[in-house]
Amino acid sequence: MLRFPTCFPSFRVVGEKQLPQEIIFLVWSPKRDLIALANTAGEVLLHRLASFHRVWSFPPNENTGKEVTCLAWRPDGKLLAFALADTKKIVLCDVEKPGSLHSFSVEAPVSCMHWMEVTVESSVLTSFYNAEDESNLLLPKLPTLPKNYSSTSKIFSEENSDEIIKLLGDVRLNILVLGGSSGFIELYAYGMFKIARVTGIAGTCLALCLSSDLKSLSVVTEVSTNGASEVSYFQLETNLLYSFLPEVTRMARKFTHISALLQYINLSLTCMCEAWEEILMQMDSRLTKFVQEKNTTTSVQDEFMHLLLWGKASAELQTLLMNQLTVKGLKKLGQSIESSYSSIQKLVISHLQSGSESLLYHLSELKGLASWKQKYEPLGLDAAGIEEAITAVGSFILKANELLQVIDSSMKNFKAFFRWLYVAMLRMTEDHVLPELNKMTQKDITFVAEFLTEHFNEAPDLYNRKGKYFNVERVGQYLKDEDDDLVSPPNTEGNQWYDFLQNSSHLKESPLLFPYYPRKSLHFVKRRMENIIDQCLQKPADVIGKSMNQAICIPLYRDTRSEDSIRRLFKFPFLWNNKTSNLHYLLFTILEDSLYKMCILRRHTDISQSVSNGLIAIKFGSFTYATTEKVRRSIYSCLDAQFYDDETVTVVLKDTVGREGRDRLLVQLPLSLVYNSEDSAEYQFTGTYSTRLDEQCSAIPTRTMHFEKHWRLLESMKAQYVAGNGFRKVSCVLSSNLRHVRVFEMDIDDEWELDESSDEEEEASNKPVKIKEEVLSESEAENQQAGAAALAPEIVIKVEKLDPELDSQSSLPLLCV
Amino acid sequence: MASVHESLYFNPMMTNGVVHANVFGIKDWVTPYKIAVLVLLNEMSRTGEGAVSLMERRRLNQLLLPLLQGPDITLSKLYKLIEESCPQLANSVQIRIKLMAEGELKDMEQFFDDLSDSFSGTEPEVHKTSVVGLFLRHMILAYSKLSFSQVFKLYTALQQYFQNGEKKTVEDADMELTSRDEGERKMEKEELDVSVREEEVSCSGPLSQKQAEFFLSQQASLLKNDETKALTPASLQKELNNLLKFNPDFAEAHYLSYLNNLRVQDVFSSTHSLLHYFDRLILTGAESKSNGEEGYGRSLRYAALNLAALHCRFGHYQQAELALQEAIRIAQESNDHVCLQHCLSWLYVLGQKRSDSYVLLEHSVKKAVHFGLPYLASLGIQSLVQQRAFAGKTANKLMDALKDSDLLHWKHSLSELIDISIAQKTAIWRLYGRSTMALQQAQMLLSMNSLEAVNAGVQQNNTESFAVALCHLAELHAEQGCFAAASEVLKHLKERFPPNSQHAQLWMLCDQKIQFDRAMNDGKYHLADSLVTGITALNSIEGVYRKAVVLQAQNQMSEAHKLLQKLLVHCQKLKNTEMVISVLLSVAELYWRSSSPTIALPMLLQALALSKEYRLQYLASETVLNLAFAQLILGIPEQALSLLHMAIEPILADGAILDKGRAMFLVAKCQVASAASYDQPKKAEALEAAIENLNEAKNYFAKVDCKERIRDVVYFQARLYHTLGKTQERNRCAMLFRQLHQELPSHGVPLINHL
Repeated sequence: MLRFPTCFPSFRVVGEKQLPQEIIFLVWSPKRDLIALANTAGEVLLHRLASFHRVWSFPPNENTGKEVTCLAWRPDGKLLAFALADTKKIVLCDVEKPGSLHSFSVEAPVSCMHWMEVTVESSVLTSFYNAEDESNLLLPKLPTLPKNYSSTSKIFSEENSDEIIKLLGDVRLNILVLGGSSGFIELYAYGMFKIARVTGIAGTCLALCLSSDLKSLSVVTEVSTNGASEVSYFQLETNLLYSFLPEVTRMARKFTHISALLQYINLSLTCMCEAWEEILMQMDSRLTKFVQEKNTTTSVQDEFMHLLLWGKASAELQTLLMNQLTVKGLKKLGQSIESSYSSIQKLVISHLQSGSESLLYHLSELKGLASWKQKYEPLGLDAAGIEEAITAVGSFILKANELLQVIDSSMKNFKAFFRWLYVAMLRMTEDHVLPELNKMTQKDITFVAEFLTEHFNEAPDLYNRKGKYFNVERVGQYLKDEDDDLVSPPNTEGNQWYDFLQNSSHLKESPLLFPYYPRKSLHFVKRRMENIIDQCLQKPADVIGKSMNQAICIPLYRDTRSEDSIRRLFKFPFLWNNKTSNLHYLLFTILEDSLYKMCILRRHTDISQSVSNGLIAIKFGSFTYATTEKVRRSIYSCLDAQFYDDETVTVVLKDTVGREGRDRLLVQLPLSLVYNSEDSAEYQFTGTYSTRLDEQCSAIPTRTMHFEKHWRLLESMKAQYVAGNGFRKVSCVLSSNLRHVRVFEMDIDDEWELDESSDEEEEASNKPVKIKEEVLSESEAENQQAGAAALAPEIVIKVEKLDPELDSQSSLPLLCV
Repeated sequence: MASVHESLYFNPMMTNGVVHANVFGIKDWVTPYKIAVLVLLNEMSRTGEGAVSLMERRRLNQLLLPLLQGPDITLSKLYKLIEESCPQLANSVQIRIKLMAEGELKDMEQFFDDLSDSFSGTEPEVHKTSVVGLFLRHMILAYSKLSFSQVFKLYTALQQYFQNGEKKTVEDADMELTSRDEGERKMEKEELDVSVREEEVSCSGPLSQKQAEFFLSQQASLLKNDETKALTPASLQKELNNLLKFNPDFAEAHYLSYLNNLRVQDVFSSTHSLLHYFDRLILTGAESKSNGEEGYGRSLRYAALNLAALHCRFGHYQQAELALQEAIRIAQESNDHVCLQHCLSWLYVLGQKRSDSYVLLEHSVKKAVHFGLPYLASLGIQSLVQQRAFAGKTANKLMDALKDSDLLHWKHSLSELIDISIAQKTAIWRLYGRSTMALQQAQMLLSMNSLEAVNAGVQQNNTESFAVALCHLAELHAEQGCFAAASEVLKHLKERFPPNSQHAQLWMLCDQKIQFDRAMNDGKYHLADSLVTGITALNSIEGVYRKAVVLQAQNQMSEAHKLLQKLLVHCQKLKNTEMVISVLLSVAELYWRSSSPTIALPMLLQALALSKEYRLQYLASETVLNLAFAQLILGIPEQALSLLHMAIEPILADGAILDKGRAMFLVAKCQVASAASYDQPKKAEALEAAIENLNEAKNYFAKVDCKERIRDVVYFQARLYHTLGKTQERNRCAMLFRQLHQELPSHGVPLINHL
């Protein structure tokens, strides 16, 4: 019996794997032979083409989330975005290593994403791109945050702070489009900053595609009504984005810088809070306890003053000092105060201040943009709001500077006080006092006395607020995440500038001066700043979102396959944007006589223009082996289809009469055949776009395709889904149980090569190649240590030599049969 | 900015920026005042817990420390202080002193005998190591060391003290009765400047060593930090002369006299005082036992170094260099690295005019770090940053360096250096034309309080840093059209830095510049011309430039051109890039105003290249505006428009209001010019856009009250409305134009030839 066809199109299998978890999403990297997968366990995996070797995995965790719904690559292939349904977060992750570079929250769970890159060129744009570098020259580099802190995000914990630049990538604008349930669509410039929020589209998004010329956005949504769902296609006009592209690019980059800097400031503040330890509160709590327990009438301040001046302490104070605080405890307290204060001080100077100064710089540039009303007002950039934001940042920096001063004076005071107390306690125990400790200048004594009078006042009203009588430790009040006023605000009396400002008439109202909130904490001022900045950054998103009008709505079909809609997979419909001819393509299937018929809808990105052959259905007629083998009427149903590149669609077909294990086909469908110019006039859609398309099947022109090559039988695999990558000429097929993947190289299809097909032989023949290629790709990826670099070419040669040899060997037995 | 450092490099009364109080070793003497305090302490320990209430006790304890540490005060004042805290105790103290003073010597003897008892017993009231305990022991020891005759002297002094006190109380009581208000006012004043009054009292007789020391250190630190609070030069000199009359070998007094003479720029007297200082120092140094040779040589070295500093301050660079060479020679002979470091820094200051001097500075910083002289190193870094900023080095590196040194400053809480660093950042951001950043830094400095706790009363020092920051603040306000606010800042400056003080020149120049700019905006050229002399006196280059600007505005082209050419050569020699660019721009303007824009182009390109290289953003934007204008005249408005795209954002972000208006006006002009070739609907659209921009420009001009330019804008708008056929709007604009035109004389410059 002739088991195999004599000639076979060769999409060569380069890898096959059974995976432990069900895969729910897979996308090829647009630039490299890497494929990103998401599985039901919530993992995100990155696999290499060769042998499906795993590069890394990003396990689900508390911070990011556990339920990955979709993935998208940045067009340059350096960043991967994935959406999480349970935390409603979007995480951006570097291709080099797993870990969140940046993450942000969205309002609703995201069901689909699309990351596009703008391809329009213009002279204005290039001049904008060149103007970009100015800030790098003027602003010092932001130092990285200490390694041991910052658990949530790693954006700044790397060696240098070029992370923002890395995140931003190319200057050319790229936009991440997110779609979710109930008409939730948002556009994120550079995958980080929201530039548009679209409302008014009904249903859950199934697919999105923003054309690369920024003229329109295609959306496919699904509205479910009693068990079945109705799928429709929308085209939204995005003319505002298109006509203001240079401005949008510039604004988006500034915005991204600003939001990254806000995050940096937040993290620095977190680090500062972590550097502030609870132990510092010990003094306050001990003293409070003392006040509560003592039965004398003297105040703590008096007791200490008496000890200082007369050298005598009451019995209560003595027990407090000797039994509760103890000499050892005092030493420890002193050390922890010093270490924690000095680390906070360092963080303020090197991180907080430089971070907020950069923020101010970018905001002031943004002000320049916003004041150019003719250009930026239509985008919703509001100069007054930005000026307010600048003022808020200014106030924040002033506050941080105040904190520095408080730390400085606290350090001095504590040092003098502890030194004195230490000696006094040693005397009480009648220990030997080292002579160098005993020396105390008059200045030190004044210091201690002032410290005692200032800091050791009992404050009963404070007890009601904070449960303590004392506020000896004064740094914590700035860092605590509280909106309360400062317990002990700094003394601005005697500051000549403030005195003068108070009494001035014009200067007080000067818009250039930053207000100063003497009674507020650093956290409060920071939050105020964040709110104001958010507000002025939010506006463009609303304005641009409102401008995106729904121009076209085409109801497509009614879908009754509701069982797998719980776990939404990459599936029909599929949207594709042809960058060169500015067309939107939509692939979908229509159920006709229990068969799924593939249809291609195409529209011009410019809504005002129309295109011929707007809708066409494809019928798969005959394949080579079928005609030669047995005359049999095969009927094919389309399972999945994806654009492979601009000219080709990769399709998975099911032969409805084929045997189990031999009924799935992988086909490359060239569009040039579909849109054959000679007879295109015959294939015009005669129906109307306003009624559902599956109700007017007969009106859809159908083209029957016959294949001689560019197809392959998928042996012993219940293939269901496919993902193709025309750039690297590979595609990946996934079985219907979602665990079995097979990877193909698609580019050898011009030669009529004979390929193996039985699984055993394939395994055997592929192994050596696999290993070699693994070595190769690894050495490629690891980016060459000196030795590896020298080795790599050798390996390449070997592989090239080995390949044909292996192929011919493995194909020998086939020929014999 | 330059002089910030010169005054700080070496000052023998100062280490790490903090003026020292301990100039000599202190020997304790029993004085009548101290006896009175002892009586008070004795009374306090005797009365125990019950007799004095808690609040009174707290107040007394708070009072004790200043009493123990402060200078001697009169008895009546002491009574008053005690009475405020605890009237009952004041009474008993008064009685005891009265008894002692009106009794016999035996009573005093007895008092000191009793005093030593307070340490004895099982439960002594005073611990011997406490503050009070130490004081008591010191006093008892000092008393027992006295010879009989000294004891007698002390007793008579006590009697005298008591009697003076009695008299004073009577006087005070009288005064209170007659004019209570006056007395209160006087008291307030007394409390404000205790020290001054103290000295006035002691004018009559010789100061004790401790008091002299207190006086000197206080005045020295005031001279450094807050000149206005110090005595006036004349009265200070009188005090010093008085001091020196009784004690001619008092070296420190000579040094203070030197500092005082520097204030009034008196070359002769200051040299004289400085030489005297080192003469005395060498004398006393030779007498001192252990490090006689060492002290002697050291003084010689620093004498020479200080002489160099002195000459440098008066601009006698040649003498300064000679003195410095001498200092270096002696320092090298005796291997004094610290002194050599100081010399090296001075060598840089002297050589600042030379281009390669930064090499010296780099060496200096490295060595200073090596020898553990952080203060000198930081000063070096700051000078280096300044030098690099003018040399057009990248800002991020400079900022990095400043940030790193800031970390150190805060760690050691070097208040002065932090101030300088912030002031420097303000200046650098201004240099780069980033007004928002400069504004931020200036305000940060102004919100700072002094970190030094030495002068407890002083919250903020009046140092040069503050003057610099305030001047920038005033200029920034003036740029944005807030003239009232700017003049208020200047008023504040006047208060803090009176016209004859050291840093007054800074604000004077700033004030006149602002006035000049306003006069130019208003078109009052005669007024501007009258300000030029004042500016020239303070800064000759700036003055000449402004003169040329006035000439140009008055259409005296050839004179202006001559002046500018000379200035250009001069500035190129001095490497004053900022001024070179400004002059180039002015020259270019002269050319295109005399209708030869083609000659202006190379000038403008040169200016653009320079300003880009040195990153002088505001000058770069200004140049681009000029360039675009030249292109407009040459008939390529499309080019001009695309060039403007580059410049307009920075101008709108950080530029002065006037520049913003000019930029928008120019954009509108270019839009109109390039619309000429368009077809009808597109042309109308472009004209509408131009009108919008003209409105913007008009708003900006209105903010700085620039009527002349508003007139031009209105004229332009009227023409555009006419083209568009909007009669009503056209008429409105035309009427506005007519009103303005009647107010202002026309200079006959064609509209197109005005940027």
